[in-house]
Amino acid sequence: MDHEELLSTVTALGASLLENGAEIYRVEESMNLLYAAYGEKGEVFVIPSCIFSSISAGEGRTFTKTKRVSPRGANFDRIAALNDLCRRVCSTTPPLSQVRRELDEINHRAFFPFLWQVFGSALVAFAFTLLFNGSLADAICSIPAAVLVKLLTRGMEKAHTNSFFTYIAGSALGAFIALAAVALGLGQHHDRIIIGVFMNLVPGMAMTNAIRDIIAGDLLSGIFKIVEALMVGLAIAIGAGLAISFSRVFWGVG
Amino acid sequence: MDWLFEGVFPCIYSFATCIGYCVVCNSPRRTILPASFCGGAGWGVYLAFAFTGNDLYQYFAAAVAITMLSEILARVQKCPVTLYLIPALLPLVPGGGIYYTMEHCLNGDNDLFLQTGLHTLAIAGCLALGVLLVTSLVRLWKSVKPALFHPRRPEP
Repeated sequence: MDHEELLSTVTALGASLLENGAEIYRVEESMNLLYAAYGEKGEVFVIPSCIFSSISAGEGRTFTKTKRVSPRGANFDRIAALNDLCRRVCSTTPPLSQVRRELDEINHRAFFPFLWQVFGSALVAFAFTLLFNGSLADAICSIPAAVLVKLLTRGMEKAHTNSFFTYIAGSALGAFIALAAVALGLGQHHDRIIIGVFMNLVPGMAMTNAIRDIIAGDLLSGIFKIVEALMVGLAIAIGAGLAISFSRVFWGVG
Repeated sequence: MDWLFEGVFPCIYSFATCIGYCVVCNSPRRTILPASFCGGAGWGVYLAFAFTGNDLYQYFAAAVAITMLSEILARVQKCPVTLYLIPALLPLVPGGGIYYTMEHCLNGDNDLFLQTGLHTLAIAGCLALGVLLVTSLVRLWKSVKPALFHPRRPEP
């Protein structure tokens, strides 16, 4: 058994799980199970931005790998595929080169095309505005707002802007469009349009993962994600607040 | 017709919201409809608990129902639970609370600002409590089940 190869393959799998939005305990458990499947005892410690993993190779030698991970946002398709891969590897223990190949395949799996994602966020805003008792006109106004917000936030993510500023800008843009739509008489309730657009930005995933991490006993990561959720909530409130107070001062609407 | 507009349509809107979010999160195609069903059913439970007269109970009940459904679906489809839980909880996340808190803050209405802000945090807490309750019970069941069905015989 090549310890270094095992270490780097398992760590790569864990890193892929982590950066696509899996919970901490899922990453730790998967890695531990993989080590056990190949007959090694691994020690794994994971926080949302880093993986520390080591196995002992006997004769007092230990191999350790530290892997810095930057989260890329939710990609459930990859989490499901990695989960399947992990189950399969644990039951059949194929050669590591094959695991590595399948892992590369999963890491290059196609997203939904970007157009579909824009469509998805438009659908979120449209349906949620209706759910929040908005009129049909409000819901239709929320579609262009959500599309433009999605384009803006994606562009800023590509340019590696920090996420706090991205959320402020996205929510400000959404609020401006909603206020403009109401001022032009296209929609009736600016608050409901803005809330519909908010739903694309709210920290639903950070919140759910925070709860699940805390339940699993990973308090450090739980706190990390609760703070993230609070920061994102604060950022979208600041963004919309800026937009509304500006338009009150300069246009007298809102 | 009231029941249609107040009972059925909101669940359909919630379902549609979840479909949109699943696409944004790039869910595998086979989990999109089950996860969205979870979201629609969760909103149905939220509406069904309107008789309690306190929306915190409604959020709690909906979170419990969604988590239970997600745990079941995850076992049926052999997928991680979060693939169902995250989209299904999205319509319940208090985006409206965040907005109105901010608006009261802008208006300089400190009483309403504090009240709405605390209410928003309370909603988030209720959702967390609902998820925590069900997930912890499932974990407890997982660790107790082997002991119940395959009791370890004492070594002779």
